[in-house]
Amino acid sequence: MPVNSQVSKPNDSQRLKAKQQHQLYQQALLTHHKKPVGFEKDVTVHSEAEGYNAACGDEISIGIEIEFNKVKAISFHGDSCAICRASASLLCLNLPKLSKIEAASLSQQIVLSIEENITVIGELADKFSPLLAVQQFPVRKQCAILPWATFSRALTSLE
Amino acid sequence: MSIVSPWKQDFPIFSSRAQPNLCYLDSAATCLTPKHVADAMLHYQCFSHANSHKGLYQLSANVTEKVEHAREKLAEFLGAQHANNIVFNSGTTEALNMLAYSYVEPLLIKARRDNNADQKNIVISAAEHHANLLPWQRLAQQYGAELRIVPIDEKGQMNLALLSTLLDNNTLVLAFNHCSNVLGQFNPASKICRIARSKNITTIIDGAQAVAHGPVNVIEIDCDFYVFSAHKLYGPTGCGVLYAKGDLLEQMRPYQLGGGMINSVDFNDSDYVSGPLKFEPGSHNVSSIVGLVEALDYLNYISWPEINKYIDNLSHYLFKSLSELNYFKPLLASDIALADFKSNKRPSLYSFQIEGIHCHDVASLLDSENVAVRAGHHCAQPLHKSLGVNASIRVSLGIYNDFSDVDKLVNSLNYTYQLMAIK
Repeated sequence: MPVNSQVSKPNDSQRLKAKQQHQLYQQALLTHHKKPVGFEKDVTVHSEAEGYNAACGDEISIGIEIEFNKVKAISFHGDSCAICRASASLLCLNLPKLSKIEAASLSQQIVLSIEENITVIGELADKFSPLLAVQQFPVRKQCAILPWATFSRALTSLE
Repeated sequence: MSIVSPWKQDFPIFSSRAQPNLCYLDSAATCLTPKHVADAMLHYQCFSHANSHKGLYQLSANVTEKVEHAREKLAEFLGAQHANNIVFNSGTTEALNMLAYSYVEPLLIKARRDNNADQKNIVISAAEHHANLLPWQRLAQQYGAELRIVPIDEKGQMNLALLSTLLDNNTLVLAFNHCSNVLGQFNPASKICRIARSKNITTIIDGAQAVAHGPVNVIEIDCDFYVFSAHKLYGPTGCGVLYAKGDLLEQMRPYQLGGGMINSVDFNDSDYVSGPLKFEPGSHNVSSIVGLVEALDYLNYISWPEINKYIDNLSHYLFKSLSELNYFKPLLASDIALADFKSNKRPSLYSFQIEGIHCHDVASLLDSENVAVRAGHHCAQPLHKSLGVNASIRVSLGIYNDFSDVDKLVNSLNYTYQLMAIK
């Protein structure tokens, strides 16, 4: 390192910015990113859809296994950012066992709450609060939404 | 040589009331603005503004003189034969779209009349910005012509052996970048134009990234067209330059129609003026043109050899620092690129990936440390795909950067890797 190099100390707004980013990459989300549920899981795919985020290059493919009109299992594949991976992981964790209608409804609710900054309460908040932190980061919303939008398309194609 | 930028203080964005801790490493997207440029534009707008080329009063005549003086300065910067070879526009994107419409499309229209449009081809390199791909892709699709892609070699330059095989009697134009906005490598423009010239093929060079390295000599390169944007040269956005060789402008149809570009008009027909004004309808963006001239004066005052020596030294430190990180994955094999840098111009930008972390996450976390880099495909999606990746992180240098910026980048990358990497 050069001896004369000058590194300025961060000011308050920078510290706040750094803190906010860390809120986005909080532990719960990082855990899903590093050990995602459903990633490359072997399921019997009855319907599949692909999603692409042109802004950052996220690519995701969601596969759904249906049994008795209910979501039995979900898998995802692809190269995507931590927010997208964690979002897909939460999707794969929470949607199995729901009926197709319930899964579609929940999926819509999650997308809407991210897009419109709608506060969720109760069980939904418990399950998805790490993901909903993305509400404060408009440029990353599309990363969080991509798996859910892709899942919805895969579900629709079953009809 | 100083390792702290002697010119950083010229950029008000780093002042204590703005962004004193900003580590800006995205000059390939746009350069920050020196005070000289902002002041010149403000001064013009406040004290000298009028419509150029139209008014018969002194204030307007003064503005006309400013624009024509700017044309001369730009001709000098590009080594053009004459100021009349220079057209002002809104930037590289508009210039390339204009060339597609004004120069190449009429050739395809003629070919279609002769029933051989589907035998024609347009050639570009695999490393083009979308601005130098999409206009050609659309033309090719509209007329059933072929869009041929010249692959890049291991150094990131156009593969010249393959180029020769792709150019033929049916090639209408060869369009390529002088310097890649992703790989930072210069193409051997003179050699490429010589190959094209030997087959009577028109050449268009996208100089958007190259001009940050100093004056260009279009006569020596022997290209037909050369285009760039002012904001890649510390000037304002919304202003660009097109060079057209010889009387090529006279062969072209106007791109947009409006005031100030005609000799006479009646309800049945119009007679357009000759020269650059035919391609500059409406009112000139004079404050931006003034800003561009001021940027050129500012850079000339510092001196280009001084700038290039400084950026070269910094670039070497940047690449060395990045290469030492065990998670650093350059888009081009680093040993080949490094070997080439010794004998070639050193890039002022590098694109890479971080092992186990998506580029978007890297950029977000660097941003939290006030380090601004570009992440994504940098408007060169096909190039990324041909390199087997979806996205990359791009770090690019400007004259306000110094060694501390590189150190800050490396520290932030280390932090990001510790936090995010899937090992």
